Amino acid sequence: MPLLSENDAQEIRKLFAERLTEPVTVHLYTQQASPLAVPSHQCQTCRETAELLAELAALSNKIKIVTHDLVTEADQAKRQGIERIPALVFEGKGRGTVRYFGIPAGYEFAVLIEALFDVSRGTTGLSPASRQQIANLPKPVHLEVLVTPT
Amino acid sequence: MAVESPNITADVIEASEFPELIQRYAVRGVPKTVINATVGIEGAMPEAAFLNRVVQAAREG
Repeated sequence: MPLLSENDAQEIRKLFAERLTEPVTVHLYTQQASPLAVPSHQCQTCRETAELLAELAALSNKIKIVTHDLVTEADQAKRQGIERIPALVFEGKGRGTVRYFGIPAGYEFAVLIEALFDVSRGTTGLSPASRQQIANLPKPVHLEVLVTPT
Repeated sequence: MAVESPNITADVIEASEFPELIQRYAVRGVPKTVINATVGIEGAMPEAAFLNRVVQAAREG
């Protein structure tokens, strides 16, 4: 059974058509399902996150999903700074790095959709003054926003 | 912000899936924003004020 209802899917398809200007690649870091996996080390939300992304990608030809395995593609994971899964890395017109860790469910689903829009367009709703202020930061800044799905 | 600046990495983290971070950052409520693993901001903050914190962190590196 799909995670997105028929109505939601239709609505999102419309929004994507209106607001995705350039292609976005979402790198999904996950783990391969293995019969030998130790339960305590299993990724609880990886499968569902992958399903959700696949359903979203089916709604627009501008969204592409590339799936990586945290263990077998350790080098690539290290390059993108991924140490926990599920992880999403959004690649598009963004100048910095935008990532999401965990399943984007509940209220956070809207955050995922907005991230796709912003990375597609390479611009945000920040004020012109803010945009200018952060465009040339002297040193790297790492922002971590901790949220819960409800 | 990370869309606008090459020097920003922005992570959204579903905290309940990663309890070790709740502990490390002493998260008591969400949203909680952590800048460079040191500066913690609880709840929402006006854009301009938040930006100042980010710029300050970038200066201190």
